[in-house]
Amino acid sequence: MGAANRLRFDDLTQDNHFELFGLVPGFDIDLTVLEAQWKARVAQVHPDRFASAGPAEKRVAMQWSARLNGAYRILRDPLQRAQYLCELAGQAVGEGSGHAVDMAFLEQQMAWREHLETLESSRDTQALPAFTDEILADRQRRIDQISTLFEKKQWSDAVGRLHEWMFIEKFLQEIQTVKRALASTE
Amino acid sequence: MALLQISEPDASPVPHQRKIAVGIDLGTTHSLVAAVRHSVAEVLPDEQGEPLLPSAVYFKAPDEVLVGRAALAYQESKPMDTLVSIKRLMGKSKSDAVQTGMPYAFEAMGNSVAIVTENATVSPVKVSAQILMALRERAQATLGDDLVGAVITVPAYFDDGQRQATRDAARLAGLNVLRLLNEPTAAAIAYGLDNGSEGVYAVYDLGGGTFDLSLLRLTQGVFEVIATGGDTALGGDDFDEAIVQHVCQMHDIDLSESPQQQRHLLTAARRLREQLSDEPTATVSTGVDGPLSEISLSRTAFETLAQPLITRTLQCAERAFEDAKLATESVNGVVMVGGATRMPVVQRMVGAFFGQEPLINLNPDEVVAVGAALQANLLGGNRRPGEDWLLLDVTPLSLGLETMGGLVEIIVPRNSTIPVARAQEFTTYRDGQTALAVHVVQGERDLVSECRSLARFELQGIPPMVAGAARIRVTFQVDADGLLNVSAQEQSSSVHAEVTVKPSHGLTDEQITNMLQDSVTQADQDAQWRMLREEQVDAGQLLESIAAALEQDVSLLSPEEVTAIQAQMTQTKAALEATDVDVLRQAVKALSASTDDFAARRMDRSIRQALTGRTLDEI
Repeated sequence: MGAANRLRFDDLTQDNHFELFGLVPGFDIDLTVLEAQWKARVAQVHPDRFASAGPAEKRVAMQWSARLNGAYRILRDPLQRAQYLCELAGQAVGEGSGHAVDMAFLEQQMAWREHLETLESSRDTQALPAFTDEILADRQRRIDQISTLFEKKQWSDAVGRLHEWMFIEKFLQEIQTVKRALASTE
Repeated sequence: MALLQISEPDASPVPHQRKIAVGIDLGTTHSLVAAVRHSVAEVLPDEQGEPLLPSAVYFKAPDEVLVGRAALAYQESKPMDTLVSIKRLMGKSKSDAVQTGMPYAFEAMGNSVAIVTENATVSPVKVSAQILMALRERAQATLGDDLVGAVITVPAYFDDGQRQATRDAARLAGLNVLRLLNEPTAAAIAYGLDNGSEGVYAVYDLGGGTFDLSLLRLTQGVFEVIATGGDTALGGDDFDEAIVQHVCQMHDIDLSESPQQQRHLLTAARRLREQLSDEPTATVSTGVDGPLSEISLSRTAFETLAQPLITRTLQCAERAFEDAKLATESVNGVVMVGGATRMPVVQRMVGAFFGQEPLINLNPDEVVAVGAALQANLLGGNRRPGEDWLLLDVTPLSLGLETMGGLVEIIVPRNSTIPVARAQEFTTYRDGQTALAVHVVQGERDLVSECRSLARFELQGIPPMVAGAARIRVTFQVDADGLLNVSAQEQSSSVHAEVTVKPSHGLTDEQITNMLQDSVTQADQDAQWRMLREEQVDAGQLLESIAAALEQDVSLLSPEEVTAIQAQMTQTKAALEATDVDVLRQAVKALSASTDDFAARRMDRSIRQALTGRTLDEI
């Protein structure tokens, strides 16, 4: 092994994920195109394509495949894609990013939590799907807003909406947990 | 191995150079070997025309091994020494082994387990290697060519330890492992290529000892696994155990102290279960004295026993659908794999779950081996023009690290497409802390104690800093075989530590090499001479391709690097003149090592060009 270990995984990240698939960075991307681009590229670099090559070639093929798979995983998921866009724009996302939480949304969170607790304690499995739909509709409204904010490059506001979206995703998982708990103790 | 000899994707193989690669299904109950012959993938039968090799091994003497039916013949008289269903013990510890309830005498062997029989104490890896060796010999006798390698199938839900053990067994059997392939994915290849299907397919694979469910999306020659679920301790064997428990309860007999009788009953229960697939009631004799000398059961009674087990498989299936964010209705077809899917009750319950008749038009015993043979043929470079596909498989279980308080931090979530690499940064929690212990685990639970421990290693030499100042980047990398490699690096000082996950259960490379060398030293002079010739030819090719690469791409190297490579080339040329195969081998090894970075850089550039479609000048 030479002294310059310049082919470690980290150094493959010089292009951004969008460019890797020939896409213009943005929130609204065509998922069909993304999938086709991913498959076409991964088909070229997958280790199976180099089954008879030497260990160095196989290793590089594996690192490139991992890079493509990782980028695809992020871009195909809207939430991760939005987070990645903020990162590209130099915006910190998540805890400690210094964004104030919208008071109205805090109240909304508490109302939702209370409602879920009521449904759980009264074992009201019938009402769960409608409640889930309500949350999903709310999520969609926020995603639409984020899309517009990204287009206008209003990053700070976009990060605010993004945090709310992250809460909603977590809350949807909580609903799933309650649903499963109720189903298993039926 | 030649430097960057990448063939064009559609180049046809050289006609006189037949490179035979086989697919092997190393099953709990049966094992098979298949190959593509005359453009058709088919299972290779033994001399009696039998395609299935029972996965049974009997050590008649310490160095006399019987495999298959010859071994099974001893099951009646030597039930404790006739090794069957050993796949269930792959990559397991002694306590895991005892828990299986299998009627053998176990002994700890390091972190793994050994089975104590009358004439030999052997590891599950060694037993599996015997089965693989029998299949390798069968393939060589049938095909009359040297094998370039084999694709070995494993349950999709096998963890890293179980995969590592399987690969060790194959290497011990003298096989070059082209790929570890997940069984349901192999079955999907066999089905998909046959039917030219597109859409989402579910593969329901209930084997002798393991259950897998994989959801795949087939589009234009790409087999993309979307999610996989399963249980590596649930299979046809459990249905047999349920029957034995049932009849023992009915007669109020406790057999837990007599493993010999238990083995007899299990064998009889399997025959009973197989008969019940065709008949409404069945009776079999067991070879046990007393009220259990004969057992009989109706299909209805059996199905009541079977239902809870099948329900467990469907719960695994439900989770896979949740992970895939798909509804059962979106499935275009359900493929049934594994001998246990012959049970009518399984077909009925699976059909009801998916709301459609499952596909059973390919032999459920053979479909995995056939798919593996197709993949082996592809990897062996014998693909015909226009015949091409790509497999994108996933990690079955989440991989993570132990953090404070015995909690698991997931680094690679389950169902990530492989190969995958993910990194996470950690920091120190004490002032002046100079080492960090890394504990790698696999599983879906939040607590470390409930996950499978894969490896522990320590990153040392971290420069003393205040707590929380160090930035330690831990990288998980899973290759196309599903095998994990973990490395850790302190970012500010570049202190590096790396581990390929295996020490807890697998064999070290050195152990494998020693075991293999033992067998080679016994080889005759003829073989020694042939080895030298082969090594010389390889060395000559390597020198030629390096010379050509240097001529083309010397710009990728610093003058010092060029000097270093040239020095190794001179040494190898000198070793070519000698007749000592070990000296030559060492020289070739050193030469390969000195060109490793060069080969990687050329490969990297070639991939960048391929991905961007740009010409050399623009990069």
